[in-house]
Amino acid sequence: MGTDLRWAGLVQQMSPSMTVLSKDQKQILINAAFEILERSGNRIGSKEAVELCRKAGCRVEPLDDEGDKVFFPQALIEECLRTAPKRLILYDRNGNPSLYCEGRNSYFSPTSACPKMWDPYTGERRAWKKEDIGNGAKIVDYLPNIDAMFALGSLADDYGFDCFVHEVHAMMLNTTKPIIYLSNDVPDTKAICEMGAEIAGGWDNLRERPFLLQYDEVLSPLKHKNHAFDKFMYLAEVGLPIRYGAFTMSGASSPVTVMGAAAQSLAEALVGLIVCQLKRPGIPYVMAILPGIMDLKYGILSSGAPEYHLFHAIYTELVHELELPVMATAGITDSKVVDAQAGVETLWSYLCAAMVGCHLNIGAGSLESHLIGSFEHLVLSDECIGAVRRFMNSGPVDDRSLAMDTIQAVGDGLPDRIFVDQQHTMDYYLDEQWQPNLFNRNNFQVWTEKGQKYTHEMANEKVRWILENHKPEAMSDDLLAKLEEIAQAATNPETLAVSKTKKAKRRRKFRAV
Amino acid sequence: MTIEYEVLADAIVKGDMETATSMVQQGLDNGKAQNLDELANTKEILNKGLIGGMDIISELWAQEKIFIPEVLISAKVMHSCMDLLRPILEASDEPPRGIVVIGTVKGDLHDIGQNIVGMMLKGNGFEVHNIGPNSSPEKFLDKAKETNANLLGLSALLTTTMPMQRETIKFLEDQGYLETAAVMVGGAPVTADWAEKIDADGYAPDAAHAVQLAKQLVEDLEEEAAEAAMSN
Repeated sequence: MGTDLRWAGLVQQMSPSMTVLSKDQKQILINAAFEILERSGNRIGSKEAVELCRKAGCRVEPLDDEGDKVFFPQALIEECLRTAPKRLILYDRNGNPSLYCEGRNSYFSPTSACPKMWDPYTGERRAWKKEDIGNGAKIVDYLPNIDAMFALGSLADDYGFDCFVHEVHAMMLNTTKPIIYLSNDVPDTKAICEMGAEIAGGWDNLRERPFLLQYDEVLSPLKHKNHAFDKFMYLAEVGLPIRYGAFTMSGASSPVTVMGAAAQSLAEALVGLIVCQLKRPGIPYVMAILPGIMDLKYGILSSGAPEYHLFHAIYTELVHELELPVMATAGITDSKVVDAQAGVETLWSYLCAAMVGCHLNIGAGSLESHLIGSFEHLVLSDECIGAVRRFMNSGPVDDRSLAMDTIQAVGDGLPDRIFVDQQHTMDYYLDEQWQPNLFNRNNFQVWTEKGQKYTHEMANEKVRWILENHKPEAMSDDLLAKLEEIAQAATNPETLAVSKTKKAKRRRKFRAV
Repeated sequence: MTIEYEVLADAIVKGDMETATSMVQQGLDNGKAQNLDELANTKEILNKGLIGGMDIISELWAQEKIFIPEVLISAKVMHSCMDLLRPILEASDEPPRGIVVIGTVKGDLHDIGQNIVGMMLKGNGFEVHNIGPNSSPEKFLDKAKETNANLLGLSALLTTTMPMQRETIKFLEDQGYLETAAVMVGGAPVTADWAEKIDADGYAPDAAHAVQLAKQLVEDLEEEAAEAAMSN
């Protein structure tokens, strides 16, 4: 092992990467997005947001109660791109830096709002309970390659519109990892941030080391919900990062062509950036996209389609070009169970996400494109991401990795002519060879002796083991009581009544086709 | 026969707007020139030409030989042809069999799915009134009363707005509107279990099935009406 490196000038960490667009093509797409903003305009519901745009020089065409149409001059867009921070660090619950959203780093979290879940004990497909959200967080807390938590399921069945604060509450109690969350309105966001401030030990701490990131979507095409922007106003006021972006279904809510869908999505996500920067220049903004394809045969959202990954890569490249933190979805499958299709679609997606360097990728645990949550899929995702991370970290080219001396020694003089017992092997094999936790490498006989288990069965066993054995870091009783109080106060009996309305009666035979 | 119905049906299938609409107009003109009964001629154009075309589309769809864009483009052509026939049919006091009020429930701003269902229904001869997203129970009722609708389609895309489907059904029932009208529900997170639990009359998992369901519900309502007439 030489200490003086012969190839000092050339030593570098290798990392596979992927680019789809040339520099010129990226510029064409970005210009197309600017043109959409200038020429087609965007419909904005929030009065405060419209006013901010008008004052900044946007032309505003009044429409109706649902909002006005705003046209953005290019100079304003460029100005807002200048004031937005180019990187963002998200912290964990204890204030330690956790996700460096910069460069080509990639991090992964579950999705959210799956209406159903596979019960890991009964195998039943059923609605979520608050305990299940906590269990999902506990699993994410344990898995080394899932970097942040997002609720995975929805508590709408039990809590109606008030579900979001309870989802965050359950997540906070069961993981220290950063939390991405949904919220219905400003009071929701307030309650969630208050819980965050309690945990962080005050608002200043939360601002300096944010561990919460709110999730909001454009109402594509070219329309922006007023409550999303109203929530931004609040977040900008208290100084917390904002995440916004498009979730179009290409072919339905955006053009069927990947390039058209990318240009439209980028334009839509830029509107969020502009509004945030106008409200408070310098507020961190994560530009997001959920690539989505409407399968035009079945009319469903497909996340396993090959175009999906192309869309993801192109969009990420465009946001990299604009030098902003970028978020997308990855790891979602169209399959209804953890099977071969799920494995293929999941790994492919994570690999593309890492190779294009998308900072935050949500989607782990999601079957049937966000419709069924699966803890087993979280375990599968952890395994896939682990493998991808090894693949992405190919190691340096230097004297140590080239092992010239060892090659000569083994080739020339050693009796067994084998590398297994060499010191060089001992020194590096644990770093060099990634070991699976889930995928099976036994030979047939050993695999048979161990019960011939399939991947989904192994994943289920691991889920149960984590649920029964992992103990997330506990909080003080005082803090627990405060969080409980905030969560309960956020439950409005009136809105809850909507989800608990007394049943109507069966009038005629129920028809399901 | 005033025109070649097979050619008209083929134009519908191909989504050929110009040929289809000009043939329908030609059929009406020829009927007049030949002193045919206007209503009978109109019904024949409708049943043998337009519905004949849409039946082929349904069949091709069922065989997975065509995709949603073909279906919607044919539906659009069918609908434009219907615009030519509607004044005659309406004057005859024979209302269409299915009048649908479709919308996305209050609190939910997503309308892509319900728009596709609405277009499919229109293309299959239903009279469709699309009240759009974020529609309150009152808005559903008012529009249904105004149009004398016998079907209501309630869409929800969010798990949080699904309970509003239940609320809307309860409201419509309390107002007595569901004695002679049926409710169907849909949306990505909505399941048959949920639909049954909230006492909807029917559930379809996608737009193509929604057409089947709507036809089924209209038959159910007609049977109910016939039984009621018998017992009176």
